[in-house]
Amino acid sequence: MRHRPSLTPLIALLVALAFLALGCHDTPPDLTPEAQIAFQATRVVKVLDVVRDAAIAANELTPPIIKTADTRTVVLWHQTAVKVIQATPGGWKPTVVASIYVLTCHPGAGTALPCTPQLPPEAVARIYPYVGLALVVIAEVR
Amino acid sequence: MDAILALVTVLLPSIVKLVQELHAHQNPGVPPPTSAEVIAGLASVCTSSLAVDEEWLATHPADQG
Repeated sequence: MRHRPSLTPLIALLVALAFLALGCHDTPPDLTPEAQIAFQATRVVKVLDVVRDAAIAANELTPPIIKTADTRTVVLWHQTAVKVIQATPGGWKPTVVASIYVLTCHPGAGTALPCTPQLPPEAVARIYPYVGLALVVIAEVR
Repeated sequence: MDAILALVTVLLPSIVKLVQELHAHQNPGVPPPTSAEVIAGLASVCTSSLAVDEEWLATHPADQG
């Protein structure tokens, strides 16, 4: 078996840079309450896009490292999550976090209860850093 | 090329864009958005995001595997 150097540190570095950018970022102070909610929801939609784009990009590689059926699962999850945010900009958080837990069983999205992810483990592994980033952004939403 | 490296390469531009957008709001040289702009921005972001989903689903029908 060919030795493959781990790229986990590189991915961790990218995610850490994103964390750095996110950690010192606040909602502009002069917005109305409705606009503050929209501001945070917009950030969440953008970070969910990154998760979806990760799955699509992995599927487009030759050979694909995420199957088309699993990519469809991610795209459908993303579509539902964005529609929920669009419909309820102030009340989407529990639904979206629960959907992430169902999709990936990411510990940041759920409880310690046993969980079987909707995606197979290899697909979860590919999008895991991006899901973690999404959960950090979501956690900032008040 | 290692598949993971390829994936990171493909995704790097979107991660950089995301970070830039988040930092843009902190730049004192950039006026903060108005409430109306922020609310309209959410609608716009949702529409374009869902359009990508629709396009991908349309080009990858369920029976394609």
